[in-house]
Amino acid sequence: MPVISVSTPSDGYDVAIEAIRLATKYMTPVMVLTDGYITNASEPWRIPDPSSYERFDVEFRTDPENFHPFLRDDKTLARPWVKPGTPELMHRIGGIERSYDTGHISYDPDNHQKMTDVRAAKINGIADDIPEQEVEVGAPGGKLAIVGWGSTFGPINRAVNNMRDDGYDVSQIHLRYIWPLPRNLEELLKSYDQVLVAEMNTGQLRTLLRAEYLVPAEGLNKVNGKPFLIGELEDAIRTRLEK
Amino acid sequence: MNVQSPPEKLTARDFATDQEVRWCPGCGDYAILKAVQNTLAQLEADPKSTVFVSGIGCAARFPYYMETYGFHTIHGRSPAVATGVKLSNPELDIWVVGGDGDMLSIGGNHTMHAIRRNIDLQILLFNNQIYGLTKGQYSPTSKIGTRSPSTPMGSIDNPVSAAQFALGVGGTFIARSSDILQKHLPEVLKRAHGHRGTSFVEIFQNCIVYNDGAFKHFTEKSVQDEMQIHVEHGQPLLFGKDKSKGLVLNKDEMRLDVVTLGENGITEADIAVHDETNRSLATMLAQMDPPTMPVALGVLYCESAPTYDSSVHAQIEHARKDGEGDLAKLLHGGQTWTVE
Repeated sequence: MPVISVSTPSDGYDVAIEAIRLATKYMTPVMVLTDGYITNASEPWRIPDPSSYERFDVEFRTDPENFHPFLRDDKTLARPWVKPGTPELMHRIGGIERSYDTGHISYDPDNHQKMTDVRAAKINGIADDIPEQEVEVGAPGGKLAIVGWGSTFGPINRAVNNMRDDGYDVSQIHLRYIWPLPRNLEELLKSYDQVLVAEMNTGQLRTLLRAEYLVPAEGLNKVNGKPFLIGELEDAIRTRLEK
Repeated sequence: MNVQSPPEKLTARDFATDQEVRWCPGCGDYAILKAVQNTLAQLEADPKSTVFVSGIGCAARFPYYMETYGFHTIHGRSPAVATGVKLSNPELDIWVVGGDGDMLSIGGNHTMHAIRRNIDLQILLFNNQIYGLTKGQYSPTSKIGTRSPSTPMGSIDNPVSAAQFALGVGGTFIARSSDILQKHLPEVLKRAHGHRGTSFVEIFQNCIVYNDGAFKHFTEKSVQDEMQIHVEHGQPLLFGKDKSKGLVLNKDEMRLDVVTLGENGITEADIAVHDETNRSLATMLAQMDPPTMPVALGVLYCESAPTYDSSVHAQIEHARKDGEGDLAKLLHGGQTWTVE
C-alpha cells in the first residue's frame, strides 16, 4: 500500500490531493501519516487557486465490448472503474483470490503467486509516477544527511540551517513518500558519509532504509510525546561531525 | 454501442452466476440464496441496478453467487460500504448480507448506525448462532452454555437478540424468517424490498456442521405449529394446530400471554391483533422464546420515516439552489486574511 506523510500543516493540503490522485489512478488504498503535532500547529499559508492544480479525472468504463472486470491497465496495472448501475458490466469484487485470466475465484497456488507479484508490482510502479527525492537543505553528497519525515520537518530544518551557518557539512532530506520510496533515494543516501534518521518513533524508517538499501543509517529517536528540540538535533549533528 | 433490447422477463436462474457455490453440503445458505434469487425474479429486479454487499463470513460469500453488482468487503463493515454506494447513486437497490458475528459482533456498531440512520438498504442477517467460517467458535447470538472450541466448558455470556437490537436502535422495518420457510421467506423479502429505509431481516439459518439443530426446537415439523407464530398486520395473533392458540395482551404485567381458544372463556375477540406500527408490541413479540412462547416470524415492525439517503440528497438539492459550488470561494470563506 502506498504510504505518504505530511510534514507541515500547509503540506497537508497537497498531500491529501496527492493521496487521492494515487488512490484513484492506481485503485489502491493510500495511507497518509500525520500526527498530533501537525494537527495542533499552525503556519501562514497562501490559499492556492484550485484551478492551478492539474486535474486527474477518473474515467469510468461504460463500453461492454470486451469488458472484463479483471482487465489491467498496461501502465498502471490498475483495473477499470465501473459504476454500479452501468448496463451489462455487472461483476463482483472481493478479497478472495481470483484467477489472473478469468477473474473467477481461484485456489491455484501458481495463480496466487502471480497475483501477489502483480499487486506488488502495481504499488512499486508508483515510484515512476512520483518526483525524485530532492535535498531540502544542502546538496547531494557530503559528510552527513539528516533524514526525516512528517512533523519533524520544522526542528530538523532549523537545526540543519543553524549548523550550516556554523560551517558544518550537513544536509536535510525530508521524505513525503514512505512507500514506494523515491527511485533515486538509494543513490542519494549513498552519496553521504553518514546518514542519521531522526524520527519520533523507535526507528521504523531507519529500519526500512537499512533493509532496502543496506545503508549504515543511524537513528535519532524519541518517543516522549514532545517534538524534537532544535538543540537536541544540533548536538546530534555536532557529535557526528566533530568526532 | 450495443442497441438495448427490451429486457426479457428474468427467472431466478438469471440471477445466478457461473461460480461454483462453496458452502458445506446441507448449509441453510443454499436455501436462502434460492429464496433471494426467486424473490428478485418475482420483483422483476434490474440486475444492473441491484447491488449485494457483504462483509466476512460464510454468509458473506453471497455476492459471488448473484448476477448483479457485488462487493465482498471487510469484516463487519458492509453497512459502511453499502451506505457509500447508496449515497453515490440512490437509484440502486442495495442488499447487505452478513452473519451474526459479522453484523452483531465485529460490525455491531456499523449495523447500529445504518439502522438508526434509516438508509434505504435491505440488511439480511443470517443468524446461525455460531462462527462457521472459523470452524465453530461461539458467537454473540450463541445461547448460554454453547460448547465450542473457544468455550469448551460452555459459553457464559448473554446472547444478543438481533430483532430486539434492531428495534432498540430505532429500526423502521424489522422482520424474521427462516432458511427452511421457502414460502414465507420470499414474502418477507418482498416486504423488506418494498420498505423505504433500512429493512432489517433476521433469517434463522442452520449451520449443519458447527451448530446443527440450533433452531430445531421451533423449526422441526413436529413442533413448528406450536412454536412459531407468523404475524401479519391487522390479523389476530393466532398460532398452533388449527390456530387454536393465541396471544393476549396482559395489561397488568405489560406482556403477552399464550392462551387457548375456548379455555377460560377465551374467544378470538380476546386475541391481540398484530399492529406492525406498534414498537412496544413488536418488542414484546421479539422477546418471545420457546418453550413457553412461540417464536414470532414475519414483519414484526414497519413504520414510514424519512430515509438518510433522501435527506442527504434533499440537502444537496437545497444547497444547489444557491448555484453550483465554487471551491475557491469556499476556501476563502472562513476567517482568512492576507499577510502583506
